Amino acid sequence: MKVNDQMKKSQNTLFPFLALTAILLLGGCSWFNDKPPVTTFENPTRSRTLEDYPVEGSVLAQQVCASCHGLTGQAASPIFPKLAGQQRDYSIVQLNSFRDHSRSDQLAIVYMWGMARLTDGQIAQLADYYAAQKPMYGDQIDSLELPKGKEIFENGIPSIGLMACATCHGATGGGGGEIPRIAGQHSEYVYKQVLAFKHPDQTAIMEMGGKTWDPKDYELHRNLMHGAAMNSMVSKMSDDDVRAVALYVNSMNLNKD
Amino acid sequence: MNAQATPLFIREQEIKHHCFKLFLLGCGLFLFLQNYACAIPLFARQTGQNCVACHAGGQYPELTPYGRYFKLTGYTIGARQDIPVSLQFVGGVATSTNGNNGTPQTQQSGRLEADNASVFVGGKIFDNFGAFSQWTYQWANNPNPNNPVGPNNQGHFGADNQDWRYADHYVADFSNPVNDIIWGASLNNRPGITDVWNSVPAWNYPYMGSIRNSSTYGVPINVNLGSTQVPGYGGYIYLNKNFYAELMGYQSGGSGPLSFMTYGSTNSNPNSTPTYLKGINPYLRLAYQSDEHGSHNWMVGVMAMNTNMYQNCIGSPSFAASSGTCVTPGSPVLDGGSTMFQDRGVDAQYQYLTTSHAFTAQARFINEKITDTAGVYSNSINTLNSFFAKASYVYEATYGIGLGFQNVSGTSDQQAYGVVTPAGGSSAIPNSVAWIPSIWWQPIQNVKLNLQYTAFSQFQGARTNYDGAGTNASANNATWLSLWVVM
Repeated sequence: MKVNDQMKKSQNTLFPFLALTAILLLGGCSWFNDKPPVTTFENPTRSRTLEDYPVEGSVLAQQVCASCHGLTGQAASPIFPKLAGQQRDYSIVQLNSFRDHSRSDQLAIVYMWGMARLTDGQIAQLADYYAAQKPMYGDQIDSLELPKGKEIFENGIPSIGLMACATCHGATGGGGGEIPRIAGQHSEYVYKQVLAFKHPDQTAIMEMGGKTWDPKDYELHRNLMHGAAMNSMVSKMSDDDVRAVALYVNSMNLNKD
Repeated sequence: MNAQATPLFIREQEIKHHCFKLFLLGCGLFLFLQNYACAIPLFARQTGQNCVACHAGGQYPELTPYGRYFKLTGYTIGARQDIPVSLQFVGGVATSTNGNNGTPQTQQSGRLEADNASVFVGGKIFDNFGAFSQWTYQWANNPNPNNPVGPNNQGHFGADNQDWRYADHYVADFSNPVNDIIWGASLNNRPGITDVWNSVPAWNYPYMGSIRNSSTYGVPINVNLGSTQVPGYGGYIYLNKNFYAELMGYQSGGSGPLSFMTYGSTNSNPNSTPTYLKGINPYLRLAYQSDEHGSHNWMVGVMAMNTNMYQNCIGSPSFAASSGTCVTPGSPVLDGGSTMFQDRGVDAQYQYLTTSHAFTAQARFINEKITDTAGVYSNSINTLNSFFAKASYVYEATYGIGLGFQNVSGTSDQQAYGVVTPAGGSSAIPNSVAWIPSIWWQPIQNVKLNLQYTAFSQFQGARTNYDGAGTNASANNATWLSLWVVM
């Protein structure tokens, strides 16, 4: 009987104790979140912290972005676009549209919506960082589709009214302003992006691998405003055309120096 | 206090108590649901990314290059969370081809049952400090009504994987021979848990199994490395994102400040007795990780550990220390000698990762020399060799297929490996070979349906009649259909 009482007593005190600990823990974390960096513990010069936090764009580029895009923006994995020498204005538009979720292709949702929790200043600094790098270089591509890709890139497909890619992206694919540098870009990335422009309403293309049970309060699109030109152009291309152009673009600018 | 007043009094107390519980539960739910709009786990909420960013093809816990970086830099990428919590549930149905003939399958029920539920806390704490802290409730793996006081007959809550890290990352110009340094320190609770590759025992395939059917995990006897929960601490360094070196020391949890690392394991708990180690036990890990070549990357590594373990009074059913003194049940036998496990391993991993396809493969070989003075083994010296390999493919992070292979062989030891099977025979040879194919479907990234099969071509020494009583290795074959939910 005595043992039972003791057990009951210990059970009665344990639960409120645990609950109180949990509330203090959660409260403590929330408290820290609302504070500027606690200098004793925090280290903004080598920080990996996102969301309204005073870290220089170049620090984020080295500490966070580099893990996928490479230190100089020459991304090795074809999942991630090369950013080396990317047009400053293009980068700013893209980071803004990741931040406000107006770009919602698969890669944007899966990787970039979270990463683009940045301030305007950080976005500008990141754009500067990559624009200042030596332009991205391409990969040796061995494909029978290259001549077809080259033809479309340089001359378009007049019979279906498709303009040459070079018209806007430049004869060397260097881009300009809000139009991205594409010479040397990963073919897999280019292919997926052109498909996203071509089928902006297809969930299968837009959010593969990104499926969650989140409420879908966003519309699928790729750069509503800024992608208009691409939307109208690539809708005329077949998927085979897109693949050929993507391979050709990837084979451009093999100059590493 | 008269007989009539007592029930009323208790009732009042109970009602108050329940109201308080309900109130707290309500508070908890409110806090949790506030964050429901991003109802994906802790790290994903912190980085704002999807599971596939860090997990190859979404197959938890296999890490992508970025996932490795996230772990090595102390789980600190992203924004600290107000409610640093996520939840995981695993349940399923396990069956064996030949009923309950095989020794380890005596607890399998063939019914749909819960296996374990976890809460994860931690993530980013400061710029250089973060944690992976998992706490798990495991349902009873031997819910045998005829054996109400036996071990493992009731649920158990305790510390699961723990890895608390401090890390820093320096970047220099490419012209320097050393241009990228990540270094860190970890307080953790299992040798190998700090590893970022999936060829070490702590993180290798099959990642999960049924707690009521040990065949779903594969071979019945394996090396000691990575199998025990003990607190450890040490440091690591990663140069140029190529060369990795780690040195940790592991010790007993005891009752000191590190005891939270083994929370839930106590001398008097028949479901989970602690592991007692003699002194500090070193774990060394070296690895070379290749650069990413397009979609390809690979690593090769070595690992080594010396574990000097005391036996505790009820830890091992085969315990028969002649010189040891059992002071209290479950306590370590400090004067009864110890068992030294010397593990030396080599391992390798290959990954091919694109947006749609994830192909990964791992292989590992560990040689273990067991020197026993505790009387747990018949022989004073035994050897155990463990080989493991696995390949898997995932399409669109949704449809997956995997195949694992395990081959363990070693010296025969009646006292350590001798089992009497239900059929009446026995075997004392640890040699087993198992193939583990699995297919899975992840309709959304928080939910995974997995069908896993274990086929033994050898079980404790032979393909057929391994126990001398007519039981074949295949009698242990097991199927596990499981559901994994994480939020």
